[in-house]
Parts: sequence; structure tokens; C-alpha cells
Amino acid sequence: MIYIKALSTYHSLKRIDTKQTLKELTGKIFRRSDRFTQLALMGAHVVADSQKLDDKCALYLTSAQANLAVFNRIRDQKYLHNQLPRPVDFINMLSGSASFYVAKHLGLKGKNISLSHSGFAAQMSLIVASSELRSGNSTQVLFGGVDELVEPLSLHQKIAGVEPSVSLAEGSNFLLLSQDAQDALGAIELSYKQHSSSEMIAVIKEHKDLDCISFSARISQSQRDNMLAGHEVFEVESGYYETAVLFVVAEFLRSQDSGDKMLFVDRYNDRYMSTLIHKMPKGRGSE
Amino acid sequence: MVGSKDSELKLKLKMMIIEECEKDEIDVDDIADDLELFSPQSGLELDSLDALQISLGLQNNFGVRIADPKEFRRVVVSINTLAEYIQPK
Amino acid sequence: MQQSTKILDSQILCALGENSRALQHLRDGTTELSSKEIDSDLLQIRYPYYSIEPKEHNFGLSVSLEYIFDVVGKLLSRSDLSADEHKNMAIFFGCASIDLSVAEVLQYSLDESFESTLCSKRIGSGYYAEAIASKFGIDGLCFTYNTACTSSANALLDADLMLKSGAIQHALIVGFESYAPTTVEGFSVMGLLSQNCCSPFDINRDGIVLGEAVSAAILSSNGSSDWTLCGGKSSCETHSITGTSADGIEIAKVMQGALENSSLRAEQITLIKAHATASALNDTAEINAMRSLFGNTTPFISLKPYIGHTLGGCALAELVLMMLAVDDGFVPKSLNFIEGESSDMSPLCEIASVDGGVFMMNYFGFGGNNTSFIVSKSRA
Repeated sequence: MIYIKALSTYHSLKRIDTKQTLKELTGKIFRRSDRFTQLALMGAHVVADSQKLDDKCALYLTSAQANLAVFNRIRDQKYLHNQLPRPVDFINMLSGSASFYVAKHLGLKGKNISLSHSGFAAQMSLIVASSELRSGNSTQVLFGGVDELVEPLSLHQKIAGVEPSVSLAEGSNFLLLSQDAQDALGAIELSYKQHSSSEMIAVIKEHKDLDCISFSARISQSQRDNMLAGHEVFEVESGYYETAVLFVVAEFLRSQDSGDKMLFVDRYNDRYMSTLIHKMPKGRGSE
Repeated sequence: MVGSKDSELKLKLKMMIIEECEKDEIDVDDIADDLELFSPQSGLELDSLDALQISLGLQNNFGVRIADPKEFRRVVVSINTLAEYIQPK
Repeated sequence: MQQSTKILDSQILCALGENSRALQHLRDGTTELSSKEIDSDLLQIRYPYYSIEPKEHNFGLSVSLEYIFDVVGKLLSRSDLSADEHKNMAIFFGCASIDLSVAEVLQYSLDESFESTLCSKRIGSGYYAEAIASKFGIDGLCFTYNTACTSSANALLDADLMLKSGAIQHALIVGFESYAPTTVEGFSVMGLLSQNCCSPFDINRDGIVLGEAVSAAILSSNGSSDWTLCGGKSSCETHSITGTSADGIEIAKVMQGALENSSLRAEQITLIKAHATASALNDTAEINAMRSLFGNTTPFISLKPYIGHTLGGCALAELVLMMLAVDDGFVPKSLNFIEGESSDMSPLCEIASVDGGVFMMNYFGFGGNNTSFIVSKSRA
């Protein structure tokens, strides 16, 4: 079990004006940052504003396609204009650059990791982050999931691997994680297993005391109907991006009337993963 | 016309530097033609990565390649020296 | 009690070839260098480059996957893990240009007819690790690290963490970097590439020579092996996004952290495998850091003159080379070093006999990512 001490969410079905939002939040302009980095900075800044971060706090940043836009720019420079990549773009092509700017802005000197997974980026990264906490190497982990809406949307939709009917969104959602339960907003119980559809149904049945279930946008209505065994559904009008699970977790912890225990179910190809979220007293009704 | 007398060229260079270095807060009028661009007193606060950005900006927009860092430091002192290098006469 | 992490076996493919040929090169102090050309409107430059054979190939996903499958396949075919252990192994994949899979698709997407042929199948980070899992029937946890030049070092360190915490019993670590034109172009515009050779710590060094490598290792929390991953440290230095501060203070702290995490003292280190990119700044910073922590008594070497800077793959690739050599009874000599910046700190330029020891492996990268880890081989 890992505890959520603070959280922040940015989430939108349209491209957020990140430069302006970031300037309003921090009063600063972050030179050489592009939208992906700005999204990361927005989420991280809000969490850091609400809780004191140790300078040894580890940072784990996860994303599905990371800085896709910079690849588009470099591609256009190379193939349309026959130009070499700009140094700033080349540096930002390395996903580590977003977490560098976050660490610099917040004065973090601890471990700084950008990692991903094909399908369950946030869930897998949470597993490593929880090991980092359990090992005692770090007592805090600032954990962020960032996915950017990149134009043209039709291409992005295909790269994201979703049906045309699924609307894409973008988000920057951060959690401050700890082993310490005191004043926590909630807790995450991670399952390491990936399941087949029938195994997933069995796992859901075993959880007798769930207040609700939430499904990722990759799970169709008919698949949902198969899995529900009289459970309430926690619906979030989220739009799709791979790390949106973090937004759903935050929305659940903020909600007043959806109970205290939620299972989030995600699917990639024919594999399922579930994550159990416990709401804790301080989390109920908080902003 | 020698580059340092070509106000159009000098304006273009200033605009390129502001854009490549993402110095939105700086106006072209803030950059005097003889301002030492990389001097700590210039007020521009340019660093080594800015030098690389300017170098590629020169390549992409003016067709000028300055590969050697020593030559870069010799050429890119001010807008005037740079303009004269691009347009010697 | 915390268990120690054992390194059961490893495999490499790099400019030196596979394990046995690579070992021969290390013993002879020789290497194989080819070159790559950058070709844009304004710039045609040939740079030396350490290629995997065949020396000229088209960059592409299929080639990359062939290399990866070859290396991982050979390693797994020798392993004596049970079927269950194999299936439940976790994969830690480290690579800097992880998004080659994205870049290639984007390149094709310029052709308008291409987009319509793209089926809705997810493309993005994690692609290679997923391909390994599905090819070799591995069903465990799967992580893809993208922290520039320290990618496979961080993959290794997090694997160690999860093995020691009991979360997993076995880990397959894969370090990977293959030729990508954008990478060479990017390093070129950064002014970081040498047009001559890779000569770490030499006063006349003039930059990085890039290379490609695939390496893989199996780590275990309960297996038996002469090789132990003692521990390590990873941290972030926000001095500059492109490199460490020349004073070496922050990287000295990381090395100190690795010693503490491994419950070792500086004088217990047999030899340091330096990051040694041959860039002006990195090598100066490393010399300063090593001097402050070890004085000038602990020998250090560079391995990049053998295989080039293999970026995200370099941590594991250089570890595998190190283990091959030590298992054969020697430490490779540093190549291309004539004269240092200061007379008191020179890399080991003669081959040295060892029958085991404790080795510090250092890697520092873009994004302020600094890592250091320590491995040991029990003496015969």
C-alpha cells in the first residue's frame, strides 16, 4: 500500500494554453520548454505548492508517447526543410528533459526517472515508485503522468491506438506518494498481475466490498457489462490518454458520494490490469 | 553594401537571435548594433546553448556555417561583426 | 535480511562483435571503427561511428529488433531458469532513443496515403520491451527507461531495488542503442562529436564518437553467481540540462552514495570504470570527482574507445564488457590516451591482471541524470 499525500490534475479535451497557465501559476516563463514540459511543470508545481517536498524526493514521470510534438517538429525540419534539428529540440526529444525542468523548478536532487510501458504506463511506473518507497531509498516520490494532445489529431489517435470514436484528451496529473499514512488523502493497492478477460472478471468478483468500479476508455461498453457484478460505475468524463488513470484516481478521492473503495480496470490488447484505490478520511470532500 | 550598414540585414539578425534564444521579453530595439551579445553586461543573458541555437539559426536562415567554436566567438561579437561576416561588402 | 542481487549471465553485440570476439578485442586492445555521414542542405560531414556488423545498414525497426532478439535469444537459451521463473521474469529495458519506433512512423506519416494505412495499434515508448516479452513468452512486469545516457543504468538500479524488496525474483535487463540519423545530427549540432577518435581524459580530446550496442543480463535475488550487484545511486543535478558541472561535486556525491548504498568504503574499490565520454566537460568533472573521493590511488579506465558512446545502452554494454574481461582474468586498458590535463590523474593504459574485485561503474547524462553502481566478483 502506498499513500497519496497530495495531488494535482490538469485535464482537458482541448489543448490547454500551457504557457499562459504556467505563467499564471508560477509568474515565470520557462525558456526552452515546450508544451510537454510545460504540462509537466504545471502539474508538479501545484503539488509542490500544497506540500513541502524534501530535496531528496524522487521524481518518476511517465507518459505513453512522451514528447510526440518534438518528434513532429524534428521530422518536419528534416524531411520537409532538409534542416538539422535545433539543439533545443534535440534535447527536448529526450523525455528526460521534462523531468529535468521539473526537478530544477522544484529544487529536487533525488532520483529522477522517466519511464514508460506499452499500454500500462502509469500502473507499471507506480509499481516501481512503490518499490522505491519500500526500499527506504526515498521517503517521498513525486509521481506524474503527462500526455499531450498533438496535432494532427487523426494521426495522434492512430498512434495512441484507439478507435476513432474515442475522443483524445491531454493531462498532467501528479501524486505525492509516501509510505506514511498520516494525513493521506488516499491509498493505492497495486496489483502486479496482468489478467486475461476471464481472470479479470474473477478478480472483480473476489472484491466483495467495492463501492465502485471505473473503466478506462479502452474498455468497450459490452466488455464493461460483462465485468460488472452489480457494482456502481464511477464515471469520469475523461477523454482518453494513457495516463488518465491518475486523473480518475484524483477525481475519486475528491468525490463526496462514491464510497471509499474503487477498482480501476484498464485494458491493453487482450490484457487487463486493475488498481485498487482507498479513500481516506482527509480525502473526503477535499479540494 | 557592407553588412554593418545594411539595416534590413541587421534587423533580421536581431529577430533571429530573439527567436532562436526564446527571448520574447527582449525587443529588437534593446539590441544595439555594437552590443557585445555574450557579455554578462549585455542584459541578454545568453549561454552556450544559445550560441548553438544562433549557430544553427545562421545556418538555416542565412546559409552561413560557423563550425569552429573559436571562429564563432570571433565572428559573433555583436550584430555589426556578424553582419560584416555574412555580407563583407 | 536484504538479499543480494546476483548477475547470472550476460550477452552483448556491439562494434567489437559478440561475447567471444569482443573479449579478444579487449585483450588485444583493438577495436573496429566505421563511419556515418550527415547530409543536409548545408552540411555534409563524415563522423567516425562504432557500428554493429553489417557496417552499413538502413536504420529501422526491423533491424533493431533483429539485434535485440539475437542478443536476448542467445542469453535466454543458456539460462537454466525454470519455465515459471522464465515466464515471471520482469523486463527492464533502457534506451535513450526509445522513440525510434515513433520517429519512424512519423517519417512515413509525411506521405498522406500512409496515415490511412496505419491501423489503430498503439505506437510509443515500451514498444521494444513489449516485443521482447511477446517473442520470448515473458509475462512479468515490464519497464522501459528513458533517461538519456543513464537509461540502462537506471533500469539496472530499479531492477536491483525490486529484486531486493522481494517484488520480483528475476530480472532481464536490456540496454539498447542503434543507429538513428537524428541522434548523430543532434549531437553534431550540439558540437559534441569528434571527427577523429574517442580519446577520454586526453588533453587533446575533441568529443564523443557514437556507437551502437545491444546487451542483456539476467539478475536474480536467489540464484548463484560469482558476480554481485552490490548497490548504487541515481540522482539529479540541475546545473545544466546538457551535462554535469565541471567541479564534479555532484557526481562525487553520487559515487559516495553508491558506496554507502553498497556498504563499502572508497579504499575497497579495485577499479573505477569511468563514464569517460571524451567530451571536454564530462572528463574534467569526472577527474575532479574521482580525485576528491579516491585521491589518485584507485585505477580507472574508459571503455568508450572500444565501442563508442552507446548512449542509453552504454551502462549495461560496458558492464558486460567489464565482466567478460574480469572473468578472463584481466582489466582492459584505456585506449587513445597520451597526455592528461593534470599529471596526477591518468587512466590505466596497460592491461592489468585481476582474479576478481570490486568495481565502480559510473554513468552521467543529459537531463542532469547521474548514476553510479558497484559490482563485485568474488576472488578465486
